[in-house]
Amino acid sequence: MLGILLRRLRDVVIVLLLVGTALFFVLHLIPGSPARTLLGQFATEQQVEALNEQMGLNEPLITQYFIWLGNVVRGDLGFSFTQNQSVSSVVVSHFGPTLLLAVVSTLLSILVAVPLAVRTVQRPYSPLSRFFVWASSFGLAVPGFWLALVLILVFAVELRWLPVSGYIDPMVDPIGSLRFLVLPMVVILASQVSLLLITLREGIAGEMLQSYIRTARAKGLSEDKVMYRHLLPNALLPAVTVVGSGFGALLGGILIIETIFLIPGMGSVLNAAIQARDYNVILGLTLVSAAIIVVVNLLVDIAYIVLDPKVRVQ
Amino acid sequence: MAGAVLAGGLVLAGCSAADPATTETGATSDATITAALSGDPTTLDSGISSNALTIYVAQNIFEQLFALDADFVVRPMLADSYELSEDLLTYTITLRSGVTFQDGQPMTSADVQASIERWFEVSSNGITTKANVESIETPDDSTIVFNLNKPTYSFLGQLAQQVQAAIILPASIIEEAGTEPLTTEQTIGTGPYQLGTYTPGQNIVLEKFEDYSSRTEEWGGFAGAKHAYANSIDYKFVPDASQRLSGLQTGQWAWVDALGADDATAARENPDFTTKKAATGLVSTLLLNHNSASVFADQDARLALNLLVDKESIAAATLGAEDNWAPLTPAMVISDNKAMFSSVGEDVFNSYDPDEAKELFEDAGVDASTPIRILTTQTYPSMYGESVILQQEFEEIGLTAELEVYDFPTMIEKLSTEPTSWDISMTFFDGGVTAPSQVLWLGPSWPGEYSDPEMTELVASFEESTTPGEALAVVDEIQEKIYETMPVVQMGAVQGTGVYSAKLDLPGNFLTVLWNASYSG
Repeated sequence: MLGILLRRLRDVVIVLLLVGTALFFVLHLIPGSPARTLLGQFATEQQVEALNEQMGLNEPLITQYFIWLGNVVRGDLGFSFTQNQSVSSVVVSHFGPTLLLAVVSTLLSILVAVPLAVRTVQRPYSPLSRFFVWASSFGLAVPGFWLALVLILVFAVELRWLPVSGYIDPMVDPIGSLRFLVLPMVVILASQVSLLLITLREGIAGEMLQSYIRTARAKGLSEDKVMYRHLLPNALLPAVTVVGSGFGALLGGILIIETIFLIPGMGSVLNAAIQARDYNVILGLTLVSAAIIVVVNLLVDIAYIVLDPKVRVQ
Repeated sequence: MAGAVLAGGLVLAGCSAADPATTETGATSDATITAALSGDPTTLDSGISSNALTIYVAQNIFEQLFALDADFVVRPMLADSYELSEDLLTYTITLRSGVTFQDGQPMTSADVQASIERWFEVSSNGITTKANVESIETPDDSTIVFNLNKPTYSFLGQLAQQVQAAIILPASIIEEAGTEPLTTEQTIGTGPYQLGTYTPGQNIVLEKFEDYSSRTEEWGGFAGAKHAYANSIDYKFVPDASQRLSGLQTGQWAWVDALGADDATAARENPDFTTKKAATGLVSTLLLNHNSASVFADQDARLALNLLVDKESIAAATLGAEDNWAPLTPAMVISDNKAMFSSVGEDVFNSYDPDEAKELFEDAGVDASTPIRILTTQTYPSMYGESVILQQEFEEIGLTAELEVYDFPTMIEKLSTEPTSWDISMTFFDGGVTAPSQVLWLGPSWPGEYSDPEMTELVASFEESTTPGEALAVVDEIQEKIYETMPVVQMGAVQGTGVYSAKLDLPGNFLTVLWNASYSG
């Protein structure tokens, strides 16, 4: 266990270094300078140059890189000119909503997908099962922003059951925050549950054919016990991997959800930073996301150890 | 989607109510007007940034010596009156008394001088104007004198201009900030609303400035009385266009800065909305590259392009409802802008003859082997639409055109930093300008490398006018030259349709001006 943790720590450092360096140079290759975006389209060349100078953007790129790197290793992610505060405080103040969406949706998707998967495998020909199998393909294929806008049109604009957009901090007002979270969650869950459902069904269906299942049934165990105590832990393994490796995509999808629903999380900040070419924020948030993904994969590995004794032996 | 990108301000027609707290509709001044902006302005320094979003918010906070009224005529704002000497070289401006900044300091001529000197450094119009100003004197606290080195007819108009505006700031703040963009703490003006909170990425809340000293005249436009009926204005940042509409429909906000043309058309039928044609507008323009690496360095090619484009069809396809843009005119401004409106060149402007275009292109040595490079963006769908139609028109006469599509900031950057990489681009210019020197593409620093000493002389000669008639005569001459030599292809002016909540009372047609608006939701 310790070995794994130490290796992961080393991995975090390597990943962050690679991601940060690659992104730094790629960002500066993209046309559009922060100065020009700040000044607007009617600015003259001289004005853009002057602001570029002030922002330190005329230094040789490699110098800028080492300045940035030197600061990062000391924990200073730089200053955001769009947010008017340090990048670290931007991260801290916007971390909450994104974490909330990511963690809650992952947990909910597991809670929903597992029984659903079991059910559809136990009773494959029931109308409900057939519906959910179809729906999971749909949920996976449908783009998040499209689904979001359609749901808003139906439930917020036409029916007026839910608000169009907005966010209330659940720590401040837990009950009040719920109405704002319904639609964003539904959109995220649509694809997450679908993905899990498909993966779990395959896993379960595969395990069902194994001889140990026959033995368990022969022992006289109830179908539920067979399913949940013996089969599921094994079927969960590929699903756990899917959750872990899909986490990066989840964060990306959350960015779009946050922008549409005006949720002040890291995703909407990142979106605005990209438009404005706020390099420090783009780099800082990407590094934070990369670190989170590495941590999530660590949790997946731990989950594997818990779920599969064979891994422990190794 | 039409250019509902309004670069100008609002027209306020204001009702001169005896009781300033209640408007004709009975709305009281407790209300907050919630507005949705298409993004975060990032800075409120409208002296430095030319970003439209910055202007919409900042125009509530800052004021200038002069401002344009509903007819685009220059009126005094922070100035009380002015005198122009016989030789046209000295402007003696008397400032209004009793004007205070939002931090409590009284406004004096020292503040005005410092502000104008800052404007001379940070604004393109300021830089242009500075060349004509010999010196500034402040004989007393309420008088400021500008000594010019040559007659400058557009002088007051430049001071009233909204893009990179000559905003009046406290001298103490200018000393701190210098030529760097103002911080939120330094955002102190004389306007009817002051900065309350600025939450980056989320919203800006402006609060009524209780000690605002308003003018009394109901001139409308950006000038005259500013009643500040609403207690506060909450500008929320809503990047998604359909979400801006949804929020308007469900009453989450009462005003949006830009909606698509289709949404505007649908909104007309909806009793929850008021739709109005905006008083300000933009002139759609095809920018041509005069760099020797481009085919458009040749005048024949430019004239050919003018003959090739079917302006009416393009407008109908990209600019929304017809009453937003029809009739198309050859002018450099919108038709309500009498000071600069001219019909000279109408025949050439209206000519549409693809066959002749083909011949002229041949004369210019353009054939299918050299693709015409059109630099465009999808950020403004109307620009993209224009490019696609343009490409088709080229293909119909046997030429090839390539579209290079980027996001707007990138497109702007490429125009300047890669001058040999494009032939045509497009943009919109402010249709409310009051002098040819404010028509940006006529100037030397605009991408496209257009420069013609005769045109430069003509633009300069505008400054020697002494009457509106003389000024307009120069505009006619400039326009004649434009349609003879075709430095750019003007496509006509468009005034967007504003859509806002029926519960918002917005007098007049300057739809971005909220200081005389009231909300009864």
